[in-house]
Parts: sequence; structure tokens; C-alpha cells
Amino acid sequence: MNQTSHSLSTAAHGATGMVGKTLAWTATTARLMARAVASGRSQESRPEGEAAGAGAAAAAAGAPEADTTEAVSTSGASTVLETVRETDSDRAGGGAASTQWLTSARDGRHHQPAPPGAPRPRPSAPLTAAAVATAGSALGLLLTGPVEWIESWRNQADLFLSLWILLFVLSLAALWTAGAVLRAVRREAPAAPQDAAAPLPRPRVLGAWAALLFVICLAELLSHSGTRNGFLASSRPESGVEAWTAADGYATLLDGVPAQGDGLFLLPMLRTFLDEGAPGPSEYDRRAGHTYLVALLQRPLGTYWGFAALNLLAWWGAALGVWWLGRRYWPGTLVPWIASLFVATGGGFVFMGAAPQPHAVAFGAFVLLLVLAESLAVWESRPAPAAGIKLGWATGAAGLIYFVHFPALLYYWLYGLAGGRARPRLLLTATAVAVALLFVWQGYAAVLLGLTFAGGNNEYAGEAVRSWLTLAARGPEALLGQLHGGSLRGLFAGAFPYLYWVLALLGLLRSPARSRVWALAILVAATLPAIAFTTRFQLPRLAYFAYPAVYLLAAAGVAALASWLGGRSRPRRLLIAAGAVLVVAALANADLAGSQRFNVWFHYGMGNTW
Amino acid sequence: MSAATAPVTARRPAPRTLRLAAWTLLALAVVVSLAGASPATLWARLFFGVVLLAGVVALAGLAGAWPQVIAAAALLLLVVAQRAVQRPVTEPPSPQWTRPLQGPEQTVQQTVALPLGTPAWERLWQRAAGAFVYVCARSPLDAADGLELVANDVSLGTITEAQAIGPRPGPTFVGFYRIPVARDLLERQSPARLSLRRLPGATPRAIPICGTFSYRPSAGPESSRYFDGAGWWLPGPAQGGRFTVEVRVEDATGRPIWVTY
Repeated sequence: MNQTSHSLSTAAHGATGMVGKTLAWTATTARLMARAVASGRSQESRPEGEAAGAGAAAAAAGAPEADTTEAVSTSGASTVLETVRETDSDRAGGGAASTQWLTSARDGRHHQPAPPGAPRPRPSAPLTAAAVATAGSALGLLLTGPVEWIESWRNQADLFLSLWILLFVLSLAALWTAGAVLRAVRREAPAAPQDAAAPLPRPRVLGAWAALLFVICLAELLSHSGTRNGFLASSRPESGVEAWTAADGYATLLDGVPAQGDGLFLLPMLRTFLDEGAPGPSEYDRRAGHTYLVALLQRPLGTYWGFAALNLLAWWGAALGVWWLGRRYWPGTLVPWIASLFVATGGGFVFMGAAPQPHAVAFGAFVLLLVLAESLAVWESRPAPAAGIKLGWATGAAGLIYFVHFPALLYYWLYGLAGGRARPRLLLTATAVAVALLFVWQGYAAVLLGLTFAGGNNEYAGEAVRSWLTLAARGPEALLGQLHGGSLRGLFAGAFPYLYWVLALLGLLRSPARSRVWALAILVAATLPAIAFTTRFQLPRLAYFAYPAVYLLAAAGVAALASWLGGRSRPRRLLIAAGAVLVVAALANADLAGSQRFNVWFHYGMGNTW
Repeated sequence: MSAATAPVTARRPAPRTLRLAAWTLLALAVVVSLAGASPATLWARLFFGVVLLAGVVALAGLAGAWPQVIAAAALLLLVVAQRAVQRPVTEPPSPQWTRPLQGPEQTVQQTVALPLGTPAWERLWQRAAGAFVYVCARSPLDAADGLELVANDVSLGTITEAQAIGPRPGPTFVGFYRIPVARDLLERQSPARLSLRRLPGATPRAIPICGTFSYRPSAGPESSRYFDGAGWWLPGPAQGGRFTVEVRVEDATGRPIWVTY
């Protein structure tokens, strides 16, 4: 490793111009990544799930602190997680978790040397993928061919990051798959069952938190309705993107309220469900489930507020769902609480909340599916009866709202493979049922309603796949040109402002292995469809399906920061956490102060500009 | 102890009973939803009633028997409201329509109330590099078509393809034309009056001028007008519309920083 990086450095010193810059990148990144991989071996030295589980299980059993081991997060002075240490008095009080607060340096976990004869540690898949991505991206910079744009440092950095994202996501998915195959060949036992989540808070606390989240979601929706809706506002001429829209942007008037223009095209289907008109083919035939749900609310609330109310319910459900998932994967910490606030003030929901579109409902449905997979014990040795059929049914139903089935099915498989918990028969059943449901609707509606499922939005998925195959056939220059034109860095920075990514990276480093793998599985599953679509559109709203992972990891990052900066003072730690939440919430509400920048980025992506 | 004095213990329904009640409510909801519906609506509702509503009730069952009953009851309530409340989906005003200008006797007129003399207007001009009138019409336009733009009774010349801006999917599609207008000319009358007309001797072909819906017209709902040679037609009162003739103030980069109609 050292020899490689040394020779690359030497080469870089002797080279000039573009090649020299690239070699310098390569040398530095190779050194850093090699170091990371080396340290990663010790951080994730056990099968996924066991690392966090051992410590937590020991702690939950009331083991002395000195016996609590944790194979992650060892380098810093403190950790994100509160070690769930129960005292006698806690146990006497009903066995609730001793505290919900953050830990301090005293609670840090420490490595214990591996016992003699212990199995050889496996390299960490995420770190290996990161190393592959780094080396591949550096190499990729050399393969662009004679194009002018590569001379600019900004374009180089953008291409490097875009290529890094692509290679990391693909490598990680491949490594997880290979690992699962290897485990199957070796007939290794499946991973240990998951730890039980921390007990629920008192009903009054839970109710108050649910009410608070609802109030925040409602306030965000109302303050971003009508002309202030980000989807609509960012299409107005003043946003500087669209040169074809009139003064009111790409809009229609629903019940006299300005709404994003595509809402107009959902009305024929809405009228069909309301028995006000005959069905006719549209670009949205595959998303009829969304319109059906709106039809249930349209009569009492009107058309515009029917759409908005459904979005609100999904938004609130997503906040509650992320809280629930946070409790499960970051038990006994502030993470679920912070993350649910991130959802309630989340840029994607704020942007979509008052839009007559299925995206917000789909975001909510995605979290519901994650919760459902956990509730059905899909990852356990004894899943709920007919779990595959139930999960598949729910996934297919959600797929009739929007593209939820893409990230959801990818997630089931990836997390199953990554965590060593895949039950292939169950996952195959879920996949088959989900896909069958989508096709049943297509056949049913074609025969009975005359829908064609053709044109526009109906065909983008197939077009995206075909475009990538064409690019791949044309060689690396074409692929790199696509990554320059359809910057993945710009796509994901559009979906989540940089601050979220920084916090999420911090959270990733400070989270237990099980949570980390789970979050990465969601991240990969949610980003793959968004990446696939970049040949047609930059769709940060598709990348936003990663929000459960990004927000929970960012919340873990905030918790870690609060722990470091707040020291032993609990009020100070809470204040820091609250301050961080307010700062990131301010980003999603910057439009209320007149700045459409984040809305424009969420709408169109950042492209390859910085 | 007599029966009259025996403590009354509330009997909680068994979860099985509750679940049965939930599915009964759901079945009722589906029946209410389908009863009397036209065939297309019946088929559409049937599919999603089975797929989505049953899914919601089943999902709620994971949270317990009571949540399942509540979910089913809520769905029944919504379905009943759907059938009972009369609130048809109103047709939104058309976002894109056209009206042709064929001869010199026809005119499109847009009145725009500018916030002259206000601090906001002055602040705007501190950042502004110029003002432009944006007109949407069908392409292509050349000088022989003689489509003249008049601002406050002063001609700004004929509109041609040289002033076309923004995307057009094809050569004969509608699109914007951007015509510069001096600030002092814009401020000469209040409200400002912008007119489109055909010059005498222009080609006889009709030139469609775009219209859209009108949300906040600066000079009221009657600010957009069309004279057909005999009488005035007002798209605002007629269909909640307006002609797509706008004033845009732009900064030095050409980005609109203020738009009105």
C-alpha cells in the first residue's frame, strides 16, 4: 500500500497539467483510503449485527460498564450512543431505558483485543467500496478523452465525486451480494437476530411528540402552500431556470389556488374515481393509486386541499415512522427524536407538501414499508406468517402511487444480503407479489378502463435503462461525459444540502455497525433509481427517498456533535442539538425569507456547478 | 350480594371480534363505494378498494385490533363522505390558449399597474439592468407579418424571430419574444398600456397570441382585452384568463428579478 502511494506521489511530482493533478488526487486518496480500510478491519471485525448487538445486549442485561464491549466508534472521546446501562433503580422503575440522553466521554466504548484463535476479521464492505470508488474515480479522470471541460478544477472535482458516488454504490451492492453468496456457499449460520428496540416512552410523551410533529408538518405545509409552494415557485421566471414559463410559473389553479402545473393532468383520473367523467389515458396511469386516495378526501376538502391533506398525512406518518425506525436502530439515544424533526422540516416534504403530486405520499409510503418489514420480522429467523406476501402486497400498492417499489425492493434485497439476514424465498415472494400487483393493474385498467400506460412518465424507467446500456456500449468516454452532464454530486446535493451530508457522514462514523449497514442499504437502494434516471432527468426528488437514512445518520451526527461540544452538561448538549435542528430546518425554509436557491436545487439538481 | 349491587365490570371485546368488525366495516366501505357507480368508476374503485383500502386495514392491524377498527371506520367515513357530499372537481382555467390577430383592426391590450413611486420600485431599479415586454405568440414571425408592439402609445417596432427567447419544441410552436422597453417610457402612463396589433399591409395570415390563466393581474381582472374590430372581449371575466403579455425587469445577467402582468 505504501509503495503504491509513494510511487504515485513521485509520478505526480514529475507530471504536469491535468495528468499531474489527477495523479496527485490518486496518490492522496489512495493513501487515505488504504489507511481507512486498514482501520476499518478492526472497526467492523464481526459479522454485521453482532458488533452492536453484543454490547447492547450485555448492557440491556444490566452488565457492568466495564463488560460492555462495542466494536465500533472507538477513536473519539465520546460516542453517539448512550450505552443502555440499567441501574437497579431503573429496573425497579419498570425496566425502561435508563436515559434517553447522549453520552459523554466516560461512556465511550473501547476495543478489546480479539481472543486468541478468533476467526480472521473480514474487511468492511463499505470501506472496501469506498477504496474501490476512490481509486476508480481517480483513474476515471484520466479516461475522459480530449474534452475541454476537464481542465477546470471544479469540473474535475465534480466528476471525481460523481464517479465516486456511482462506483461506491455499485461496489457496495456488489460486495454485499458477493458476501452473501460466499456465506451461502460456506453454509454459514445466518446473522444473529436483531436486538429488541428500547421500550416505548410513556403514552403521554408519545402522544405529545406525535402532536408536535403534526403541528410542525401542518405549519410547514400551510406556510408553503399556494404561490409559496417550492415546486411551483422554483418554476417562475425569477428563479432563473425556466425560460418558457409565464409569470405564475408552471402552474394551474385548483379551486382558485395556484398549484404545480402537473396537477392538471391528474384531474381526469380523479374525476373517474369520483364518477364525474370517463377515464382516459394519461402520463400518470401507473400512479392511479395516489389519485384514488385523493378521491377519498376531495369531497370534504376540495381538490387542492384534498391533495395537500393526503400529503400531510403521509408527511406526518413519515416523521413518526422515522422516529420508530430510529428507536430501533439507535435505541436509547436522541437520534430518533432529532431525525423525526428533520422529517417534519425536511426539504423534500416542504417542497412537495402542497403540490398536487404523489411524491410526498410516496416518501411516506417508503418509510411505512421500512417499518412494515421490521414489524413483519422479515429479517428475523421467524418472520410473521405470510410476511413475504404481505410485504409484497404493500410494496406493490405503494408502487401504484409512485416509483416506491424500486427503492423498496432494492432495499429488501440489499439489506438482506448485507446483514446476512436475507431469506431468499421470502424476498422472492415479496418481489413477485409486488411486481405482479403492478402488472395486474396494468392489465386490468387496460381492459376495463382503456388506459394505455404509454407516453411520458409511463416510459421513463425503461428509457433510463436503455440509455445506460447505450452509454456503456459507447465506452468510458461516453459514460464520463454523462456523469459530467448529469452530475451525481449535483443531484444528491440538490436533494439534501451539504450540511446534511456532513452531519450524516459524521453520524455514519459514530453509529454502531448494524445501524450503519442498515442506513447504507437504504442509501444505496434509494440512490440507484435516482442515478439511473440521470440520463433523462436530474431528479433530486427521486434521490430524496434516501431521507430515512440521511436524516437518521445526520441526527446521529448532531447527537455526536452535541456530545462532544456539550460535555457533561445535559442542558448544553440539548441546546446544541436543538440549535443544529433549527439551522437545518432554516435551510428548508429559506424560501420564506425570499431565497429560492434550495428549491431550485431540489427541483432541478445543481448540475455540475458548485 | 344481590345482582343489583354487584360491581359492574366493563367487558372488553375480544381482539378477534374487533378484527372481524374492522373487516366488516371495510367490506361495507367497498360496497358503499361501488353501489350505483358507473361501470368505469366501479372497476377503478373496486381494484383500489381491494388493493389499497384492504392493505391499509391490514397494515393497521399490525398496530393492534383497535387501530384496525379505527382505520376501517375512518375509511368508511371517507367513502360515505365521497358519496354524500356534492363538490364536483372544478375545471381549472386553461393554462394555454390562443387568440389570433389577423388584421390591423384587431388589437390585444394588456394594462399593467406598476408600483411607481414606491420604495420597492426604486430598490428594484438599483439592481435592474433593464425592462422588457415578454409576448407569447406562435412562431415564426418576420417583419412582413407586421406584429407591432406599442407601449404607452409609443411603437416599439415589429416583433420578429430575432427577439425569440426560450425553448420551442418546434418551429411552429408558441414561445416568448423579448422586446426591450425604456424605464421612462414604461413609467410615462400609470397604469402602463401595452398593445399588440398588425400593421397595415402585413401578411394576411393569422398570428395566434397566447393566453393563460390569470391569478393576480396588477390592474384587475379586466386588464387583458381583445378587440376583434367590432367589440371588446375580456378573457378575465370570460374564462379567468389573460393574454401572455408581461413586463419583466431583469438584472445584468438577463435574469428576471421582477415579473408582472
